[in-house]
Amino acid sequence: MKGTAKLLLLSSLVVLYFGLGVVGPWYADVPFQGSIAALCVLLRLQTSGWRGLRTDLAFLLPFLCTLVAMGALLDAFAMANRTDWTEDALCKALVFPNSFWSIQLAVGALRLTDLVALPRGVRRFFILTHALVSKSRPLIERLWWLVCHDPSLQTGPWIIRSGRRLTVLLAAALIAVYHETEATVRVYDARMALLEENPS
Amino acid sequence: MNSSGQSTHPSLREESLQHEDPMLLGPWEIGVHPPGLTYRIPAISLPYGSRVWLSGDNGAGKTVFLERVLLPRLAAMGRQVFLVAQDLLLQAHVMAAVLASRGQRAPRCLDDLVMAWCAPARPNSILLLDEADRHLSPRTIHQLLELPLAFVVAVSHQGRPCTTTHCFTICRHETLVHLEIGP
Amino acid sequence: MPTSLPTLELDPTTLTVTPNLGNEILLFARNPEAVAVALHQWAQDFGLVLDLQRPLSTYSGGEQVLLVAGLWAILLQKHPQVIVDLRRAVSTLSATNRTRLHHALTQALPQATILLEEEQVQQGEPSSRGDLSP
Repeated sequence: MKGTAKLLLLSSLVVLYFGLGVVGPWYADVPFQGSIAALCVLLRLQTSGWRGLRTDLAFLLPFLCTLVAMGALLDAFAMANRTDWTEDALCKALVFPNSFWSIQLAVGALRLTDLVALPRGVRRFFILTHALVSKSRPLIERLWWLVCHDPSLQTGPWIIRSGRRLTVLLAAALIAVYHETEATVRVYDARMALLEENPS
Repeated sequence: MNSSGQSTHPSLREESLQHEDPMLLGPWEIGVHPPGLTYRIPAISLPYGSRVWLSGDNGAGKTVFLERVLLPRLAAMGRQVFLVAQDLLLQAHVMAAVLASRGQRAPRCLDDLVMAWCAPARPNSILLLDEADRHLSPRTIHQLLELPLAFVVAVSHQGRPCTTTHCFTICRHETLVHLEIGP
Repeated sequence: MPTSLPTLELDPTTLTVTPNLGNEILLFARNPEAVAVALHQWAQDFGLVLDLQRPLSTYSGGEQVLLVAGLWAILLQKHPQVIVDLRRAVSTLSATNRTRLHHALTQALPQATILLEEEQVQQGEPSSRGDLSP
């Protein structure tokens, strides 16, 4: 399957999951969410192997553990007279990775060949989005390397140093991604105009 | 900048005197993966204040040498290393955010931004310029080379900056990279 | 300078739309296989080993310029009425590669106007190679 059909199918699957499992009736349905999680893990293993899965878990686990710990803490203090904080946190701890993986798998399944085959009206948007999503990770990794080697961010206790580095990364990444978007759009339009002026 | 730093911080003056010894590099044989290069760097002793021009053909491994060989080893020696990276226009966002985190206003002009970012450099600090002359004016490059620092390395395809004291060339044969004296 | 001609500007900070040359070929070439073969030959002429799926950012700055210039020299080969603006890109190249790139572009795009640094070198005019070196 290629082009528009593939794009529509993938978008429909993601929308279906979000409609049922994130904002819909099966949000707190643990067997449903568990099945989706198992399916996503299997697909992730198939597409990126153990390495890809490990990278995802390294990104997700700290957040999920913090989420569950916060739920347990709120339960311990019976905040807002509720006793379901932990249960709710556990649901979120399944829903969040499922949402993350469903989008990641859908974006990963789209190839540039699919996007080039799209109708002219929507092609530019999807090609540029795909290009920017592909460029963003290396861009942020490079920024993180620069931040970690910045001499002004080498001193102080670990927690303060890490906090400062993350703040700097966030600020720099926001501006850098904006600039990259602007530059990529400019280059795409210029190259397309060049080819249109020189049709083969 | 540094002269005022010395007058207000006597400890820095002591530190600089302690570090006015030669810069010792090598002998190193270091594999860098990726890109799968092996660097053979002979033992080199450079006097305090040396300004080195590093040249080499495209793809010889100059940037990898600066970022993956020299910088980590200098940092491991306890040196404060300021790297002006080849992708300076990207690094400028980090520089601006760093200045903001110091409570300083980031200059809009790239030359001024780099000078402000380098301002905390001490007499025992090291500056690595990776093709900074692509983005900065000759005047700024000259000012950076004139900063009272222990050691400056400038990579450039534009010819030897006039204030450099040494010239080295990075040469690559297949996956083996070595440092030669002279351009 | 004939400003009415379409211009290919190579800015070393953003040379491509996509992260690798394989995708760039898919995006812009009408005959991707033929362009890939020609680009492999171009890279070989510069002593580079080309991997179309390798992220362009993992090549050295100068190699990136050489490869992207090659890609567009191939894409525009049948339509040479262009201005190739290398003024921002040449500073990433060694003196040897500047000369070699200029030579390769004049071979691939004999009718093109090539802008190098502050001066303009147009085909048919005596070009001063000495000015290409730093």
